[in-house]
Amino acid sequence: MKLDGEIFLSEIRQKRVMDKRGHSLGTLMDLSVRAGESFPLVEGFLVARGKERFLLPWEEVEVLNRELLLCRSNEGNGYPPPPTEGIYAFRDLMDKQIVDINGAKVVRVNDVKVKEMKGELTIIAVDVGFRGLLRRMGVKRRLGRYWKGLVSSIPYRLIGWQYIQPLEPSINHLVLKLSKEQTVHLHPSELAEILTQIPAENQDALLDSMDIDKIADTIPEMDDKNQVALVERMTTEKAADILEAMSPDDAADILGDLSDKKAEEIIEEMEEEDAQEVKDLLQHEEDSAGGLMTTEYFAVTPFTTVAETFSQLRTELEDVETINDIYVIDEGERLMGSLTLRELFLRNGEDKVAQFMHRRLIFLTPESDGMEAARMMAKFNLLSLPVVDKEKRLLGIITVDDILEFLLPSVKKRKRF
Amino acid sequence: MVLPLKRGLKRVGLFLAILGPGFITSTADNDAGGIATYAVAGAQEGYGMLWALLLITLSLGVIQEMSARMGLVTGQGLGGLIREKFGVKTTVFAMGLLLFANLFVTISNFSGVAASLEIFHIPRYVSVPLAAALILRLIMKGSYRSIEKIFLLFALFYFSYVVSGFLAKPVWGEVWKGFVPAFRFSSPGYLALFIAFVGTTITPWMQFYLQSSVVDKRLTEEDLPSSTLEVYIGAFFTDFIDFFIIVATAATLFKSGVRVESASQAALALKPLAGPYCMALFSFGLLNASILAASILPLSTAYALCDAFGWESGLDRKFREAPLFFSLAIATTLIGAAAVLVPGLDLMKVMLYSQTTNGVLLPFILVFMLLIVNDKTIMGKHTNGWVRNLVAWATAVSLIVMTILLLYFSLLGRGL
Repeated sequence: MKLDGEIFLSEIRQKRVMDKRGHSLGTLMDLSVRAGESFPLVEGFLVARGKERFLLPWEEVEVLNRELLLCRSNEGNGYPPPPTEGIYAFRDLMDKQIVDINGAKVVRVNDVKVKEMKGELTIIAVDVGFRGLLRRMGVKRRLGRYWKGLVSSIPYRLIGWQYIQPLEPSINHLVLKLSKEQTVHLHPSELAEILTQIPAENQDALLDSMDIDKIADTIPEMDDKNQVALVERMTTEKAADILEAMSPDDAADILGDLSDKKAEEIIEEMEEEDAQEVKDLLQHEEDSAGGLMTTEYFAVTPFTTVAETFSQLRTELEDVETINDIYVIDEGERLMGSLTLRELFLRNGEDKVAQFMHRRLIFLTPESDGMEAARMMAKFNLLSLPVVDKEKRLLGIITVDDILEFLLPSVKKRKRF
Repeated sequence: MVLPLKRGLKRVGLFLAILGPGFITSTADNDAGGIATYAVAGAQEGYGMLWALLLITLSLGVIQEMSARMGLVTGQGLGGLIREKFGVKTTVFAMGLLLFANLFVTISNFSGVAASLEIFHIPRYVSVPLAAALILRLIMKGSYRSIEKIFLLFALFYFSYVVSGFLAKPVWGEVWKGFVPAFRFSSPGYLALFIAFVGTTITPWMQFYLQSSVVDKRLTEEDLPSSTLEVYIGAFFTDFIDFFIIVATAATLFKSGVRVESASQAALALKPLAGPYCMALFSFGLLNASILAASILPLSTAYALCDAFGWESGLDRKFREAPLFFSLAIATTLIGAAAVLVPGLDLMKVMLYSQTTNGVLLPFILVFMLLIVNDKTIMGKHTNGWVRNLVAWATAVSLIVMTILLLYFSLLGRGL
């Protein structure tokens, strides 16, 4: 055991490095870190002797504690100079901002905790709290025994490495699969909030760690300005992949705000079908029914049975915006009626939908404005509204979440008015 | 497809949306202390200091632009950047000094509120608590946007000095002569005044507030051109106002050889010389400036410390989301106001402490800023080009020299 228990990096900074024969090799300035299986591992110690700098590998270390670092005898020669590439704990991690995934916010690293695990010196947590700050300032060292008494009322704020997402691109690859799984637990609107708080280059780094579907859910939750800036920076291919994964109304909103050149490039790159859907939606004014609607609705023909409807639902589940309202259309895509999922459950399997669907239809045209849609939804207690053209062909549906966003943009996207 | 006209209007709209941080910070620079300096300059030297205004405008613009750029590119306040580059101990040192420096400036501004209303016979025990309550309500209830709009309104009221200036009936032929540089440094009063002039222009709190405002407003790299424009317009506007302050006192007090030592004395002295309206406008200007600065100083403290130590901050947040941010702002406001109400407060001493702490802190802040803005790992491609660096370092060095001289003079008691 080279290290007894756990130790904070602030406690070993500038400590003497000696070999077993008592020769002083220098002072400990920094630690070189590399990615491990789950947590980052300390490869070696950056030691300074006068103007000289060299890297002392962890294998050579015999004892590490709050007083000094003891290593095998070598006269301090033959240790390689430290590579400038690579990650160093004090230079690249300490005092930098990171994302606390559990708390869904951006915090600053005050101190770093390490522990010897399976023979390797491992970074296990970061301290973002006031205790860490005091410790960095040397208060712990000076107070000695009285430290515990002073800080007992100050709670620990340690975050395990698996719950953080570093922001420096250089550190990004230290964060492994484990943390990627953690970002999965964050709600898209929380991720969006975090993204808007960090500068551009860190945003790109954070996105690199997320999968396409997650990104597709997150970007619509950001405010317009940040959204547009983010997408403009992306490569056309990546942007196209992401927009394809989004629901077409969200994709259309973003494309509408982009520069014409970028928008055209992305639409070119997208899959034919998705591109067409988005282009259709883009024809409408942003705040009209046409601009608010999505084309991903679920519909059946009048003579479909209840049982057939259920199996169709199962296959189309992934691709539709909502299954609460089921629309009935004829071969010409004209709207004939609607029914709710609840009503479907109450019927027998062989009943045909035409027998019990609602025929008296409430609908909008693409030119109707958003407020009218909101009023209709409120009046008729609906969760979605169909949008039809002059020939009563079903073009799309407006869902209640889009109306809420339309009515309360300041709440949803923290825009300031 | 967007029509060219629509694009043009869109650009103007975009610029107006960005207008705020630079403009407000520069304007607030004309706080009670600043106005006092300019008023005294006009009374003592007539139009002889006007040429210095041009220099000041340029240096203000240069320094502010760097602050704004740092905020836009990194998304962090100056406190946070100092922490990242220089570590905890340096940060604690700087923040400690800033805390006190800002406190003294807050006190002098509440004192400005008291003095300006005492001219109208409103006792300070009424005016100061009222002002403090107003400021607290603003900070707690407002969103970034609404507070910014109110500050911009305050900024507009500075036009009262323009009117004052005209009411003082200056002889314009003489005014323009003041723009000819005249280095009358042999006169000790002139030198001291010149140094104070320059020293009042750039203060540490401004840099923290500006950068944090830009971040709080969620501006990004793309806003860089508009932001730069806004910063320079702010610098120009503030010195435009200063011009009129000097004109107002020069045309009246200097001509009549009246000596004054503070802004409120200057206002009072204007009455017999230029009429009660001139005095009223001048006093109103002082009140306006003092309240604006007294609102911004606590915010500057709160922003700086929260950025440096990683605490939640932001005017859009609710109290419980960012408790330390609001507590710091509230505490600074209350202590600042309370200090003014303590009987026997020696305002001169407060100003001295203020000048001293700010004077000690400023060189460090300027050097920190210059080191940070040239650091590629922080600023990426937005570091200073060599021309900018030349101007910036020259400005910084002259400011530092001026500040050291100012400290020397004030500590040796050879004040204004």
